[in-house]
Amino acid sequence: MSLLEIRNLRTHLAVPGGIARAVDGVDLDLGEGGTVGVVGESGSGKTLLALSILGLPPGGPDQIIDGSSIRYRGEELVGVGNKRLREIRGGEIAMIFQEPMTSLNPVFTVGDQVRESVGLHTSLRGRAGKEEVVRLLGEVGIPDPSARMRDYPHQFSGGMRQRVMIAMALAGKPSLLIADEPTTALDVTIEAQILDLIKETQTRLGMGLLLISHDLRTVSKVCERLVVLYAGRVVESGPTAEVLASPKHPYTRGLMGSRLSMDDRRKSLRPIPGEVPEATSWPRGCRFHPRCGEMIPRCRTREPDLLPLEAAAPDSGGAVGPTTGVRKARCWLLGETGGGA
Amino acid sequence: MRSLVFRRTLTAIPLLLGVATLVFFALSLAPGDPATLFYPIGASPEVLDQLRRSLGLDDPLLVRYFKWLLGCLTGDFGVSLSPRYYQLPVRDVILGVLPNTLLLAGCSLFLAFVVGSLVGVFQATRQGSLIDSVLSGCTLFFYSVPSFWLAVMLGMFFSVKAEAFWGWPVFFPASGVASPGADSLSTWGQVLDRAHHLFLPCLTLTLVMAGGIARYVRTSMLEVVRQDYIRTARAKGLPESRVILKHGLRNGLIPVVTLFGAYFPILLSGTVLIEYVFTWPGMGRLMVDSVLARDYPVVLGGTFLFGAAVVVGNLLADLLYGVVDPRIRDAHG
Amino acid sequence: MGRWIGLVLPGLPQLLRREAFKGTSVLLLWLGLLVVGLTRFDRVTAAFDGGLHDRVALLTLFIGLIGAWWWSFRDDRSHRIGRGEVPYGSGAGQGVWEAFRRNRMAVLGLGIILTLYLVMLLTPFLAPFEPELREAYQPGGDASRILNPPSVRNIMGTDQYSQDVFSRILYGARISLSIGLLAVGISVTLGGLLGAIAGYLGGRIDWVIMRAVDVVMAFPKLVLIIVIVAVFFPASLFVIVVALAFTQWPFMARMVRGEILSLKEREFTEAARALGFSRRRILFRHLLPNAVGPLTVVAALGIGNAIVLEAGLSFLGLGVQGGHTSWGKMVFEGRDFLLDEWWIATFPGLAIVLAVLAFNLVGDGLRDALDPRQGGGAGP
Repeated sequence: MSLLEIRNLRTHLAVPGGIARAVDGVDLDLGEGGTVGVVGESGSGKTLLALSILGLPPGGPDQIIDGSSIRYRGEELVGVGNKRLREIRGGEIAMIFQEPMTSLNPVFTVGDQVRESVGLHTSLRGRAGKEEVVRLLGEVGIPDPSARMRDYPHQFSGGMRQRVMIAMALAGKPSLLIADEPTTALDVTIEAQILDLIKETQTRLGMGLLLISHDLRTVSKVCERLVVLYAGRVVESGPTAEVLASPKHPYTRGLMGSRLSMDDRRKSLRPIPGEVPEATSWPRGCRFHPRCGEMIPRCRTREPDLLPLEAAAPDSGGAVGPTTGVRKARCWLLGETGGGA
Repeated sequence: MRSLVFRRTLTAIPLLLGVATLVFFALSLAPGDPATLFYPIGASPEVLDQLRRSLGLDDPLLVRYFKWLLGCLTGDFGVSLSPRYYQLPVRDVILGVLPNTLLLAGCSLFLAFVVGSLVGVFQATRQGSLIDSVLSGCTLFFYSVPSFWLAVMLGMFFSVKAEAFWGWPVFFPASGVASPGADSLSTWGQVLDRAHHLFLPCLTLTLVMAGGIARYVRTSMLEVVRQDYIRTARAKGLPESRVILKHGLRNGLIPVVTLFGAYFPILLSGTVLIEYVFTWPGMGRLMVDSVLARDYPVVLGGTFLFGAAVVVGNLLADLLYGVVDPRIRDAHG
Repeated sequence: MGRWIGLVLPGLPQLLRREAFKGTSVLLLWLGLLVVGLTRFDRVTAAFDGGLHDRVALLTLFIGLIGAWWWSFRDDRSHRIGRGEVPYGSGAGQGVWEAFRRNRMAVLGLGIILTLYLVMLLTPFLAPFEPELREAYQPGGDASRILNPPSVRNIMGTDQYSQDVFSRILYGARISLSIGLLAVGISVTLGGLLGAIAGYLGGRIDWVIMRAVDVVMAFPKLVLIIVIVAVFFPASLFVIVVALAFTQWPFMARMVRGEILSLKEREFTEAARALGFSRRRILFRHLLPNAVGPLTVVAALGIGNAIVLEAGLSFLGLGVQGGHTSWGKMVFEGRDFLLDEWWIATFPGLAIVLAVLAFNLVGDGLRDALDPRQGGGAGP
């Protein structure tokens, strides 16, 4: 049984311009103790995907469309009661956010905020609870934790605040950690430290990790598997090393080309032209076609399906088994056989 | 924190000096002789002369100014000229009515902030619903209504009409601080009697101020519930009620503390009119009576006290701000 | 034929274009003025030889009648030519106006304000009776005219002197409405200028002005006004307007100063300075116009506040002496008759509420329109 199994997740938001189909049919699998990276530009629906797992889309859980399925260790989370959802939040699935500066409540001490999580998800109270807070803060690398727990968030640097967020996330001993762009707001030097901390903690505690980032490099350092998201849909997925070695989707290639890597100095920097379209009106056909350099006429009219690349294992009616090794992509260029005829 | 208290207190001192100066020159630089402006009607020239001497009006302006500043410092504002308090020191006149105003203003301010905050928070949690719209209409009405008219209307319903038609349980007295003969009541009876008299003035002031406070709190809370830390609190697994009441409210009420400073002068303006309507013998009533009776020293002393009260109120609000917001505390610490 | 349709009836072309709101407002305004002019024809003709207020009313009537027609025709013509509607104000104000127009409560407030001022100007034609007409005390007067409840004849009843309450409210609007406008006009000019100077020059001048602001703001407004009125007792209209303006200017000054301080750091100021414009030119041509938006918000709320303060002052018997009555004074006069003659105190109070409410709605609407970020907090 996998830790997290998402099928056809659609989260649509009501916005002034209409209905934003920001997450629009996403499949994702994560095994126990596994690490998956979700990559995409801003506007591709990454953050909303993460919030949907916790039942926290901005307008409430009702924005997750019927027919979506999020299974956590086999338990369906879509439509589950509020009480169970609250137990899962923090206790089973914890999340850390992009902005450590604003994600901590400015008027409570960091100790209070970590302790709140400890109190919610463990039976530790009083002195024991306090000691647990000190232990957690020490574990994430905050020096002199018993003194610093009495400080307020504004007295911490960005990196230290993100460590506090991690300590808070670990308080409930979760089995899955979702990290939404945990290092984007931080300095490059701090970024490496925080990533190391996340990776080290994940391995030590045997948690599953869903790391969300706009940066392929960040994700490739930490994750075994990669899911590339564009316009609310998965366009490519597979083991990290394989995807990076031979990206199949033009968008993935674009993401790789839009950064300069040291060993790739011969190639020039090629950013993807344009930006992600509005979620209220995705383009017809392949959603990437207006920005794609390799477009063929068919891309404009019909959208390709997300299909396994090599016919490695003859799929039995589209049912997907343990997916760690399977590579998939959604592009017409990968063979005329596709198209779900 | 201690340094914040020190710095803020230090800035209040020149402000108080400015207040005293403005009051003095507003009344001294008026066209004509202050003695003739404020003389008891029908006074003879000899009386006027004597008055001028006793007020020290024959001194040069600067001498009078420094005497006045010294008076402000020691609380010596001279003696009252009104026949009602004749020869009584202004300080005693003011101290005689001050407790009544403190009682009325204190109760109203407290209730206004409690009621206003509750309504505002309630509205924010139900944004866009029918009850939100209805309450928004109510708060806008009370925010716009002139306090004296509301006082007259409430007096009409709960006092005049109630007395005529319904009798005691609904009836609330619309004048004075105590019933005639209240002295003979037991202590508990006197307290009840006082509360009974306090009801209408306090209700009026509370409603008028709560309207504005509720509107402010609603906007402030709507801003807060959009913040990232609210999302963090939810992701922790906190129940929604605690997300709002603990994490939301504590932040949403920070700007309300600054509002406390802004509402102090509004409160005092309000007491002037409300005390007048309900013949509540307090500072506001005293001011109006003294202006009409041309009781120059009392007007001077009373005005200074009103200004000083606002300065002190703002100082308190500033310090309170430091207490509730740790960021401010350190920024100046 | 089509292009002359605007001349048939004002508002008709707009209605035909299905711009219901525009069309009905203009049509109603025009019809209303026409009805007033026709039913009060005797007073209109008499107004040619009347006093100042009569002539102003006459002018208002004619400008309104012809203006509605002219506007409707012009609007229709520019629409046909294809320029769209006549722009309201400058380009920068356009977006604000559009945002304001979407706020129904704010538009309602603006409508109430315009109606109130129109009624104020037309009072000599509209009022059913003279405000000081004491019918019961006339030779051969009818004593039963005293303290009449609201009826068809006196729609808001009569007071203890048999004066018509409705007519008195109409005449009372002059003091209540014009004082607010005048006082805020003065305080906006004075406060805006001082605030701009303080913010732009900074240094010692800034310090002096801002300490003055602090000191004036340290007083409860009503107390300060009472003291000023006490000095000049009995107060004329002028004194009261100045007293009101004196308590309001610090708010305008503080607001404009803050605005100028933030604008000063922006690029276009740098650009203007680099181009070698004089300081005065930068301040008046580039900085002040940008502070106009927030200033209108404070001004709208300030007028409402001034109306309440003036009413309170009149209620205390310290208001404008002589002349016609004001709403605050009417509430005061009516408070002795609360048991049975509730109408005397109630209606003038409602008039104050209506006016203040309208200004608050407009002020709130303007603030939301200027600051779209706060849109979520915009209530009715």
